[in-house]
Amino acid sequence: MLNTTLQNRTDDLSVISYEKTAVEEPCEITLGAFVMEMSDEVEASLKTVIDYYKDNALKPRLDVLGNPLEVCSTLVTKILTTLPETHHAQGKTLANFLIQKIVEFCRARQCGSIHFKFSFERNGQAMEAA
Amino acid sequence: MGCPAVERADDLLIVMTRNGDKAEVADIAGKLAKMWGFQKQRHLTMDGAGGGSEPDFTTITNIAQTPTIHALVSANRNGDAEPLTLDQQLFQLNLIAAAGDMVADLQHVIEQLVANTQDYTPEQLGQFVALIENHHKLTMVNEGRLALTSEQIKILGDDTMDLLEDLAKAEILPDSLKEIVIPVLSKTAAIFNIPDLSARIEKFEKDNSPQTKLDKEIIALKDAMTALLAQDDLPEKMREQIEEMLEKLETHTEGEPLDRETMKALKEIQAAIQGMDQNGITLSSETLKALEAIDTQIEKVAELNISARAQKFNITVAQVKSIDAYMDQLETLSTTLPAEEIGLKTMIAETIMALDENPVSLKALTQTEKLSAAIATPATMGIEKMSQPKAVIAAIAAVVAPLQSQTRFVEKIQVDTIAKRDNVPTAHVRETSALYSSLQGLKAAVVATVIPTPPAPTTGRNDDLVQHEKPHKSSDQPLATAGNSNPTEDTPPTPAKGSDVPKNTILRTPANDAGGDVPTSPQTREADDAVTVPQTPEELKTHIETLMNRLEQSTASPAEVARDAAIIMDSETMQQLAEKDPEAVKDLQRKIDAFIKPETSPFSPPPHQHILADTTLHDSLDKSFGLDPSNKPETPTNPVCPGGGGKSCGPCKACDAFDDVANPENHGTDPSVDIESENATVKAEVETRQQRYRSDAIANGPSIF
Repeated sequence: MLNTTLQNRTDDLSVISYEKTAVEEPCEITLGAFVMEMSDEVEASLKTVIDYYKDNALKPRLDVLGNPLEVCSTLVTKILTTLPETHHAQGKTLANFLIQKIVEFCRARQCGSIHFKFSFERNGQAMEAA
Repeated sequence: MGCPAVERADDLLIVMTRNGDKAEVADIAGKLAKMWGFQKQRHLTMDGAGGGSEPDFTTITNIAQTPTIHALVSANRNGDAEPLTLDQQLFQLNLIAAAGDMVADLQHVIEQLVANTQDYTPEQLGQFVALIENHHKLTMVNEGRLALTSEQIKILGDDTMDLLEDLAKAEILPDSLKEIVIPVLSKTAAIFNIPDLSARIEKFEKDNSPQTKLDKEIIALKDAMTALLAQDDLPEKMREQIEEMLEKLETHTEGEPLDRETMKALKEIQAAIQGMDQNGITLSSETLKALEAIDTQIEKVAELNISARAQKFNITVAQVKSIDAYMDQLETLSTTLPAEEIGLKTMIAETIMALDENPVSLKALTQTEKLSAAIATPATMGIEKMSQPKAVIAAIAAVVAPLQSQTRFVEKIQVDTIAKRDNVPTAHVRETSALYSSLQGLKAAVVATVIPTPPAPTTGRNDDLVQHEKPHKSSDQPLATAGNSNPTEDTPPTPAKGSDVPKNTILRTPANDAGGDVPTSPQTREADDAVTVPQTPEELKTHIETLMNRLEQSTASPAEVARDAAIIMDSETMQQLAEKDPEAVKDLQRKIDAFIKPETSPFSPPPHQHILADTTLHDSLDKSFGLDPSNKPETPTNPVCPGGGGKSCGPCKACDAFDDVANPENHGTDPSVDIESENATVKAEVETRQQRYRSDAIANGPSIF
């Protein structure tokens, strides 16, 4: 497996230092229920987005099947088109969070194609069966 | 804190909600996970009913009141007819993670990189991921979404430059990626004032611009060709082709892309090289090596030529490819058409030439529009009337069908690019193109229908003077030849100066030089100074060309166009043409009117035009623009203000028509209007006035306007 490390250049700065592996080993799958960690920034963005959807009676839905690149690209576009420009920063933060989760999911399962559903329910209506 | 999630072998459900609702949803998620039942969540939508023998969801409370975002990811094991390799998949995932919310913008770049995964070393794969991640961070910094110190930004910028330079040196940096990263990097360097970074970017761009690279590759191609000519066993025909090409390449201007003809000739050489094997020609190994080198070199030149054209005309590589494909289609049509269709063949040739010269010029747009109209239907194209065998007609129709949509596509590229470049609405581009087309027609008519006379010299340059633009009468002293009694003489006229100003010459003022306050290029201004009523067809032709150039360079304001058009209309030649073809002249006038009409012109005043009613302010504005205060349009009758404002009502919502900022006591009170808004109104009025005075100049010009 290919494995390259690009570090040293910016190690003194935690925020931009990175260790890149060109191609990584698949990670482990966590089964069951758990709490997915979320930064304060994502929390705040999520609140803004949910409030906007709720206040404007929006029910955005996305049901897309394809490779992770197409899915993530569609997801970002969808989130941004449902939000006003003033909320784009929050929308992008939320999209970033979801994309990282999708990538982790695909990496763990080594799957080249996924089925992704995204929906907002004002009254907590769960989405239809998977 | 976090959000509850349930993960199975092939699914991941994330339930996201607001902070305060977390506990409830975590509870729900736990229960769902316990039952492995989130595929049965539909029951939750049924007010607790519909469970039957299913797990008892009624124990899950409160979800009905909790707004949540659900994201469900499922592995699709049955998808993808052409799946990526594992290395490609993981490289793609790394790139997606690095791009984050910019993944949609970078989708094409990521696809391109992933497709070439096997061409890159592991280190290069990592460099691409790092470059995309840095780009994402720089974008977030510029958008204010990521707070970094100046030092951090500098390091990030330098790191990005290192990556760009490494990848460019390895010749694997795609132009599409470079075009995305460099602008953000430049913006960062400018905003955060990092001169070292700016200098590095500038040097990088210079060293890696498609033109510079193309120049290098052309030199390499010439060297390879010269080396090939040294081989004795080179077939004679190939030798001639190579010698001819070397001559052509010698005349190539540095920094310019190669023209279509040269590229076609290069492709022919390439095809001839590739066809040699099939023809069974035996050549020495040195010659074969030299031919192979040329083959490779032509490929590089062809690719870089596309990038160089894209940069030169400020369009994308994909757009250049579309336009090139369109030109190929046009050539096919031209060869398919019977020989007697000279008109259409000429039009196609002119269109190809214009597209090759500059695909996003008004000239090219006009040609494309003309062609589009000509091939819009079999009837307009004359296919039905062609006295050709059915097979030929069918062949033509088959070529034309895809061309029709392709023509519209190219037109769209042209209109959008010109509109973006000149910062004008697309409707205005169409009007400018229509006017340009009419002027082209007029120019052709002047050349064709009026007996040409020897080129008469125009008046000499005079920076302070402009010829009066009123209809010329035969009894008047010809304006074009001030100081010269015979306009047809070849002797250059004497420029009018100081006290020698002829009676029909007036001093240049903002009133008669309506476009004076509109920025124009030095060339335009030079042409402007030489304005004169053309007397001969040759002069008229020159004047038309000047106006066409102005339109092409987008330096012509409506006022300038109006003035220039008036001068054209007033010429004797034009009047002769009007007698012959009045409809054509009327059509030209209509197009001029469309160009200067307020609806689409970007130079026009805003739709809700307020006019200052205060005469003092009016007069001071008049004076500030060097205008005669007595020469102004009649003020429309104002509505009566209920607040007692009378005729000159101020910023009063009741009448909402006129402002009188100088006499606020005269109008009704409106508490919502404060000083700031009044100041803004004054500023708007000043701008409006500037526009109106341009219109005044048009109105004061020749009678036809």
